[in-house]
Amino acid sequence: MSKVRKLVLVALAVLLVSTVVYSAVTVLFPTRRLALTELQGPRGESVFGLAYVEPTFENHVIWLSSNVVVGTVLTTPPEGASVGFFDVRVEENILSRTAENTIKVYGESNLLTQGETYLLLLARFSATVYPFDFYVANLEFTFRVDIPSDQVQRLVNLPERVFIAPFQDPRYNSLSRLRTYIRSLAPANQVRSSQFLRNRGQVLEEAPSHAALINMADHILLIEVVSSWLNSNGMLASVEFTTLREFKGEGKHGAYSLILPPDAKVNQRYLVFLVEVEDGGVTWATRRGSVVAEDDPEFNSLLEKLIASQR
Amino acid sequence: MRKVFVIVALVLVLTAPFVASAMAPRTLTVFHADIDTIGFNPNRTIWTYLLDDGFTPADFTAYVDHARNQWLRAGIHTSRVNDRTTASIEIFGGTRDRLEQLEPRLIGNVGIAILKRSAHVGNHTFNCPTRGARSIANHRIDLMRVWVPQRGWLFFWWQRTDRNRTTFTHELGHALGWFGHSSNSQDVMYGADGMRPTLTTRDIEHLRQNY
Repeated sequence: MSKVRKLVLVALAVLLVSTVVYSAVTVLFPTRRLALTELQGPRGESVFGLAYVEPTFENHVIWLSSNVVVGTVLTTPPEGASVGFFDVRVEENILSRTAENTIKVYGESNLLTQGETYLLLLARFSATVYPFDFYVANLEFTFRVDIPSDQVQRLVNLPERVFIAPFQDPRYNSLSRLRTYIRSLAPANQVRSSQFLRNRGQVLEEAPSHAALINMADHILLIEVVSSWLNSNGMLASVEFTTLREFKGEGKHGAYSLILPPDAKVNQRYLVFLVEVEDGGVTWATRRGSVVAEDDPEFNSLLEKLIASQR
Repeated sequence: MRKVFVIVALVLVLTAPFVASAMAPRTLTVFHADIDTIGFNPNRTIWTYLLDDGFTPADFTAYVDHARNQWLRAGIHTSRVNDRTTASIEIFGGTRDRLEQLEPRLIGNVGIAILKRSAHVGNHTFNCPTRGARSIANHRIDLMRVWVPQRGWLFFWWQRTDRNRTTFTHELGHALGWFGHSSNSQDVMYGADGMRPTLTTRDIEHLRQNY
């Protein structure tokens, strides 16, 4: 049998197996639909997303949620912020378990009201550039709940805080029914949510030593900041930079700009330790210690070590 | 200094009639959005920025230009600027991880448009055949920020171009005032990912009437 024919047969076999597996998954986790009174949320008055999936409640649970919780809002973002973090006490984990009982939820600053309890579709976010893990609130579906009366209402107008009964079938407009329904989607969620949710893995807090940090980094740069601007939540600076020296990585990082802490200053030098990520970009190697400013006491000793390592 | 003043005054005088006409309350002939809001972007100046090599500069430019050409079919002209401070539309591209870090609300979306500065300048009316007369809030857009990350792995690689064209055109539509989404899955302004890079009549007629 020629090599080409073998290759074609192998390709056909792979295609056949993939089709069988896909069919099996589809049969095992059939699509069920709950009709909301409005499929697409007239919720985002200032944020418009083009979703990966059809904008149904079921799809958002299955594909775009790492967790669904019932939680009470303890704190809201500071006044004047357009977006920020809410501290939310988790009353109940409906889909997956959150790592802690009080979590940080990210969203528009007027999304949730202090003291109220909500059912939230969340996407866990874990990245070295943020000082803590948090959960991003779903753009389309936010439900206010009243646990004693078992009632649930969907937020449909953010500025005016209008809530309506979410489902056409009144049987589902209760927390207990909705809970049961969401839990029935858990098997499909486990299979499918990994496709679109990134930044979920554990990140390394800090390297045990300078030597370990140097060893784990794919790219080590000495840069000077040329310009800088803050992102929406004010926790990160996106900077343009000049590379003064490359200690590791030989310029294949592909970054035209880098993320630095929000206090990054123009004309200041920084040592940056970066690792490559799955999609081809780079990010900080660790949560603490990957960006060292020249006024940091560690800067000179690290720089000396790096220069010595190149001799 | 005097020259700058004269140029600025001239631009204001020339654009004032167009801005005023977009602001004037009127009865809309069609309305395809799922929220009772529409907008217009008087400056329509686009500043683009690639954060990393998620896109090649040539591809990124081509996708933005495709989107601009689509909206030009609706009679809505846009221009590119190099100075960010003069832009009313900022478009960021790059790898998904990088963009999600700077804008976490991008999670679960192939693209996102965020209204940064705007003003409610009045209300239009739309006589809906099924729901009766509706008041449609009209917003002037002073700054909209758009985030479009690179695509992940696709089974059919040729889908990448059309899907990217759809995303850029969709997000530019928001930046020009198409608020909310269409409920028709054939439209570019439908709210879910797909391959529909060409504006439909519904996409066009909805926004054109506010310019």
